[in-house]
Amino acid sequence: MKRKVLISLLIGLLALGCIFAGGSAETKSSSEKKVITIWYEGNDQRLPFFKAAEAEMQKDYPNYSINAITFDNATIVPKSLQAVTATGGVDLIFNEASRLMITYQQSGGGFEDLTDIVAATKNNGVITASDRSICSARDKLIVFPINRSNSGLGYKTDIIEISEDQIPNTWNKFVELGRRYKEAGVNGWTLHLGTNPEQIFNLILTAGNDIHGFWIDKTPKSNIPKYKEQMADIIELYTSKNAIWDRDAINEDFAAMYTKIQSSQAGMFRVGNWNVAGWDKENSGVGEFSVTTYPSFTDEAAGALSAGGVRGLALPKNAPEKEAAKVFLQYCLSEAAQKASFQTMGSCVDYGVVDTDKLSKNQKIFFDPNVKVVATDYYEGLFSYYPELLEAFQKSLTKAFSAKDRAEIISILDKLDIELNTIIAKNK
Amino acid sequence: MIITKLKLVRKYWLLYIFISIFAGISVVFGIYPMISSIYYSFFKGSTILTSRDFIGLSNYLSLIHDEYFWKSFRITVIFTTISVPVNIVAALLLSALLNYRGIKFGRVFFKLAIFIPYITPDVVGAVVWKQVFNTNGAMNSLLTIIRLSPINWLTSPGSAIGVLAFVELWKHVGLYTIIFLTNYQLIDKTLYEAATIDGASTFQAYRFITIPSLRPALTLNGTYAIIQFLKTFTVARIITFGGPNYSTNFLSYYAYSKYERMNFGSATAIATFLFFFILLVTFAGKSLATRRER
Repeated sequence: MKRKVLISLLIGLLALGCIFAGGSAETKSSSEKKVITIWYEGNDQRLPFFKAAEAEMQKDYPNYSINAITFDNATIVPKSLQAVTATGGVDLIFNEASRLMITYQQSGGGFEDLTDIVAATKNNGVITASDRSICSARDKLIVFPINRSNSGLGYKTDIIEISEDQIPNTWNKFVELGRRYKEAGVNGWTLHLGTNPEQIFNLILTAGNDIHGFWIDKTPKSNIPKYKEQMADIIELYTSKNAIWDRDAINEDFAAMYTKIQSSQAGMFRVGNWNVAGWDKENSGVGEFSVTTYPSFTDEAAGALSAGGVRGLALPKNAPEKEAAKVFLQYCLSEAAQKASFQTMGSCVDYGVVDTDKLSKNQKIFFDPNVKVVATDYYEGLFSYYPELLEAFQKSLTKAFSAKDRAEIISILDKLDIELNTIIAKNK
Repeated sequence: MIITKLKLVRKYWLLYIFISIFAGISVVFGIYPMISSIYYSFFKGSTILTSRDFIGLSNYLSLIHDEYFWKSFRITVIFTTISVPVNIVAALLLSALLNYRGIKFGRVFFKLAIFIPYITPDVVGAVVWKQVFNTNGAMNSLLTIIRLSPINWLTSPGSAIGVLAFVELWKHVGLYTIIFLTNYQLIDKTLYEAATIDGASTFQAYRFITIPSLRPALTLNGTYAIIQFLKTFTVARIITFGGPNYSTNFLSYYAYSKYERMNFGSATAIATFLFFFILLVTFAGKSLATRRER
């Protein structure tokens, strides 16, 4: 009897062992299947890029796949912040580097340093120093660059005759052309002022005139006194009696601005590498236009396109599939992925994949190696109190764009200088 | 008293189950976020989602020194003070017109025409009105046709707030009108007959019979209008972005702009202040109405 019990026990244990061993084998093989969750801003135009990178990844890692989910801009930033700090559930977040930087700061450093990942990625030579600067916070590469957001000055060519020497690549020509558009019955220039009123200075001061730190620098300190006269000149494009700037811009965001441009209500406007191919199409509503560099105050050869930002992927420290996400990142610079990025988002970091013969008329300037590109200054990654500085700057600019005269604009800028230095002193 | 109420709950338990679904939704999506928001307003904004640094009333104290907050508060109060009586008076007039026995033909059409703006989605209405009042919009085109100068409807601080008041009037007057109209049906007609016999004029009948009879509707509409206008948001968000120069920067929009900048501490502090201010005004109004009834 005892023997029978013992034998039965042994057989039972053996059977259990086999089950667990088999189960473990199953568990091991099923644990090799990884699903990388990616959140991305914008619309499904981005999806082909992720799918292309996934396809490349699956050549070496067939059990890895992605689950890419899109959110609108207003939702993704707070949602990302919550995921990075508390709820988790996302492996990679795709957005403008500036927004990812803010998420990084607000989460107390919730993204991984991707320096080693980029170093291990094939084709990483396409990432420029400017890309790294935009994507880094205090020497840590927080964002893996996927594509660049560059812009230039668009001007309509089907409203008035514009000769070669009237192309608005200097300040005087820009103002003069704006005045001619106004006489022809359209707004001379438009750029939304309802949100981010500081953008205009990035375009004209930084890109057009290679002026960096026009409001604060990396120290940080306020540089307003040094550049307030140029800033007042630009603000007067809107406030003066002979203003060329669309008056309604004060109540517009970028969506309303695009509606205006695509209904040919503006003579000059910002053109991005992300929308130029679409606008070059016949039925885009923009009509005939050309693109040039942002105007220089002095020399027509000195202007440049604006490297407004970089879009990329950040890896949360609490990513559930962190190792798989790191693997995926290394395929984002593959030829197929970069081609998909160019085709769907109008840009990439590897310009080698771009077939320049197939570029549309106004796309060419963005891929012309002879055209100067100047990067916008980015301080999001440097100071945790940058949002407070930016808020003060934007509030003062909103007041300045409603000023009655130049004296009032200068007075507002002088007060802004004091306020910025107060914030800096308080936080240092 | 409590036992009686409990007995009633037992008796009608099935009905309570049905309404508790909506109560549950209100708690989850209304009361809980509200309490959370008040709670978060006592923490440093940048730490709300991480280590949560308790700072007591600092967020509220910083609002006291914020000139934009006081400007927002002033604009919100002035906007409400003007909009509420304008809406109520307009609704009274429209309901009197709709109730007038002379208007027999097309009464349903006019009721619909007045009420449809209320059921039109806020954003849709705001987007359309923005196009109408833009510098090159329909309104200025009309002025040009009749040989008048165009007006900077939305780009001048004074007129921008007027446009928003108009849009809100268009949007909300329908609801108030329908509520007044419904109460018109409940007024005892024999009172008017008696008044006529006593030699009362139309205006006297309106003042001494109609208005007192509409008091419950007046209280309801007044309370609703005060709450509605104190929390005005959509028109500022869609039409003016709080401008020009913060002239339409209502408290709710200011809280939202703080939230957009991820300044959660200030955003929740402003929202909490607005909540308690609306509560105070509503209770004050209710007390006044109750005292008058007595």
